[in-house]
Amino acid sequence: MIKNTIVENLKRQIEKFQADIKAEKIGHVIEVFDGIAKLSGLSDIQASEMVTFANGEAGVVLNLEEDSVGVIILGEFSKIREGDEVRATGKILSVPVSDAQVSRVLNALGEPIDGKGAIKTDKRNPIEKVAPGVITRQGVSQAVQTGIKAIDALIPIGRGQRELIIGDRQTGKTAIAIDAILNQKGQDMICVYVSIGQKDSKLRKLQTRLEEGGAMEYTIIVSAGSSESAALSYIAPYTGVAIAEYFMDLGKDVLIIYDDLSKHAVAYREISLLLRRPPGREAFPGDVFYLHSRLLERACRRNKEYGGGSITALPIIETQSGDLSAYIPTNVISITDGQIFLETDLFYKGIRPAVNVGFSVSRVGSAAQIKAMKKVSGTLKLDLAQFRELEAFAQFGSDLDESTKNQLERGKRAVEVLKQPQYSPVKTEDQVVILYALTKGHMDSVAIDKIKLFEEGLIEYARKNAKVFYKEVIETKVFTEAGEQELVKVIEEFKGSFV
Amino acid sequence: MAKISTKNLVLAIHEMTKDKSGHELDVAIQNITDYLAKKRMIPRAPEILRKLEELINFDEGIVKANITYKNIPEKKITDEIEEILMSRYGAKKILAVTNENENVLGGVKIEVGDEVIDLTLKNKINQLQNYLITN
Repeated sequence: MIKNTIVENLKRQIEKFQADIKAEKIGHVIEVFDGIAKLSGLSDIQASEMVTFANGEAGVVLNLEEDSVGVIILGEFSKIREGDEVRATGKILSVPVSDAQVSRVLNALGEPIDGKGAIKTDKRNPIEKVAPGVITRQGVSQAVQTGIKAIDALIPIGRGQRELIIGDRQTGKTAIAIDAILNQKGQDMICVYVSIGQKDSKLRKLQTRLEEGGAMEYTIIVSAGSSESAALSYIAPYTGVAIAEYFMDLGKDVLIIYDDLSKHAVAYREISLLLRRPPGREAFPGDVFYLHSRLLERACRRNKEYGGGSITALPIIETQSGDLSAYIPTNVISITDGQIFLETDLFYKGIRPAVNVGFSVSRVGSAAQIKAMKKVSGTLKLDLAQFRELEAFAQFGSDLDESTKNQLERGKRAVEVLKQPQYSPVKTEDQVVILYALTKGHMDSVAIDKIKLFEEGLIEYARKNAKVFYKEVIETKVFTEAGEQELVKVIEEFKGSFV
Repeated sequence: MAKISTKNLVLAIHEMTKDKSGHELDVAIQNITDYLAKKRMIPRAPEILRKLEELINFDEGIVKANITYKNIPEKKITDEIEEILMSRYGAKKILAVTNENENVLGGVKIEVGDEVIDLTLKNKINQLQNYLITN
């Protein structure tokens, strides 16, 4: 019975089958090396078109030359032989996109690598796409809360913004990105973390951390590991943004992290040199600026008529010995809407996150900062800058006037307040309370080594007793005079009981 | 100085030689050989000659076609195929190179430049296999 059904089904399928007869353009492999293939033929091929090799591997056309075509191979290239037939697919490289990709770990081609099974979807997005036009865009006006006091107060990030995280190795760049993801819980945000050329062990650790924090429920990880070819590292960020665009088109807000674009530029340099493109500064090809500008330009906030979704991009760049004037850092600084600069010296002084407030800036984020935060952090940046100057000056003299002494003391407390351990994002309303206490001088009498304790205690106490203030900040994002008076009373009460 | 591409070189050689004959042609060929030697382009000679042949064929309306069968069929059929190719490519003459290959199982595979018309049984079976897997 079953045998008959199978035969019947097969018969029906075969009856429906019609062989596709057409003239195809084919090419042949001239040479293969280091993930690159040079092909002859394929006279009608387009740039960025996908090709398939005789052994089933895929490739993407990067170079169109007079007599040959340069292709990057997206997979195992050791089995491709000289003379193998190559067929054009007529399609630009695209990746599968689906709601089911959320909470999964994908490779640079959008296929799952976490062992949780295949993702079924018919939808595909091209990895290269022209960024949304001016008409479809809207200004940044809604905040992305990272949960990091130093960032939310001093370098605010808005939805649709591109904010660069830059610093030397081991200064906490990834930690900021991870904290930002962890803090998106319940904020209606999809997060995409693109790992480029990172160690698998680091990625696994990160994934575990996100799982523990319940952040994988709204996060997608796209990974091109350090053991994979440069071609995959090159396309990984574009895959990430293609997936992010799928969610943006559905009207959702997306936070995408590119960790990191220095390795991406290095992968592109490797490919370009292998393709014999002329090297320029630091041996990067001439179009390395365009490589990143076309990627980051796809981060935007759409207006209501076009769905109202957004992509906020946090690219990461690793500097060498704090050199901001190197080629890739200057390029990406000029493309993005601001940068968070992390410094090794601060990191080793125990100031973590090691954000250098003077060098960091957010060009559009202040428009997105909530009013309550603006009110309490307005003078903080200036105070900190003045403190740094005075601190250096104070080292040379012991006789300081009262106001200078006070400024120094306030500055020390500000630095202490802005310190924050990893993986412990602080809610916006709690940040407002702490910064209010700091900037209004309520912490001036608290010993510096007790600041952390004071902070924790105050949050707990204020949550219970400053209900009007909290309600106002959570609901209206601003506080009234009544709320402020309540908060002052609560702070004074707590100070009285704080030993 | 810009690199001289094979295509440009071939075009120049073709221009130099196309209307010449006898002693004039011998001198032109000698000059071309001297030039290639001076510019150290002798290793590129096979590629140059292949492209030159293609260019001359194109100029004279000759199309070179590789035709693969399982078994070469009777002349009537091969003539018919050549006629179809002449009308498809607007050629005055088809320079057919016929091959036999058991692996194609049946039918015919025609290759003209980088264009392939695959009407072999093998190709149809492969397509059927893909169709059954994906449907």
